[in-house]
Amino acid sequence: MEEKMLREILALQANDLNAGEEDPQTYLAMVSGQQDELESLMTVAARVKQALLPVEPSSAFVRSLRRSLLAMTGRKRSGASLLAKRGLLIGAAALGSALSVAGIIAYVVYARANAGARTPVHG
Amino acid sequence: MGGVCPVSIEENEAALVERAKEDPAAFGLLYQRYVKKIYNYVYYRTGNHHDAEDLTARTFYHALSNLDRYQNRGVPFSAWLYRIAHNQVANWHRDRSRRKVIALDEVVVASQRKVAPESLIESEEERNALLKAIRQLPSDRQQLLILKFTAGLSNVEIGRVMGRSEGAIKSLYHRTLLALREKLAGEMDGDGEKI
Repeated sequence: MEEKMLREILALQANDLNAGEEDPQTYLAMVSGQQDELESLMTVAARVKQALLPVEPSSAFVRSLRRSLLAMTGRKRSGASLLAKRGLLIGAAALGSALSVAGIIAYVVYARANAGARTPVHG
Repeated sequence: MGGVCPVSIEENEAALVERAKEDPAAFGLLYQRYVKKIYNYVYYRTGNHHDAEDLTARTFYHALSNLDRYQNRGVPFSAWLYRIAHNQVANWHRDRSRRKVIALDEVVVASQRKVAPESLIESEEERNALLKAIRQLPSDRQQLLILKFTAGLSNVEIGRVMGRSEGAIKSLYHRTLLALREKLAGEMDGDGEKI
């Protein structure tokens, strides 16, 4: 029970630290037997928050990466349209081949049927 | 959040991500929104600006290359991006451990440029010692602390990045503070230096 309470309070304190609103006494008043434990953990959390300050990437880096990403999107789009064109060509070629094969088969079937019809019947 | 409902932000973002699949300008907006956050995450995982730039760039290249395949199945775009960054960092650590380069504390000291002026609240020596202790924690605990305090994510959001429940994140945070306290106390006993 106490440990669960500690976990909840530490989570709340972390939110406070992120919001820049620290009030440890409010939380310390919420626990009866573990005030020292809670206080020391809250101190560690506050120090971690202080140590992990935001850092700024250089603006040259941010600009240069943005440029190369935008160039990459351009290449990606032209690559995609090239692929689409290639796909269309391959599809058309496949359809043409299928039609040719179907034509040959139809011709063979037709020729055989005709040949069968012309064969004289010997009685 | 400035009074804006997080759900509507997620909805807007989902629409922006869909648009970014076709429209480079929309991807540019996503980039502007996240480049500093990802950079900060990577910086605190690697300890230096050079690798932070390299891995941030890799993260966004990977995201752009795979954006067509991204679908929000309970993992918002931001969480997806942090996962990519996390994987880049994990690969970086693996390659580095194979090559056995540099000591972490040297990196921390060498990387103190461009930190906000508030850092002067605590002496650089104390801060470096604390950062060193954080970097000695297991990877998931470092990830949690950085996402919580640098990215300012909630426990639910951290859970989405790390693939864990909110309760599991709270519990991991508690254990992380306990471990860090022990580590700092050990350092104090070890060399008499206050951390």
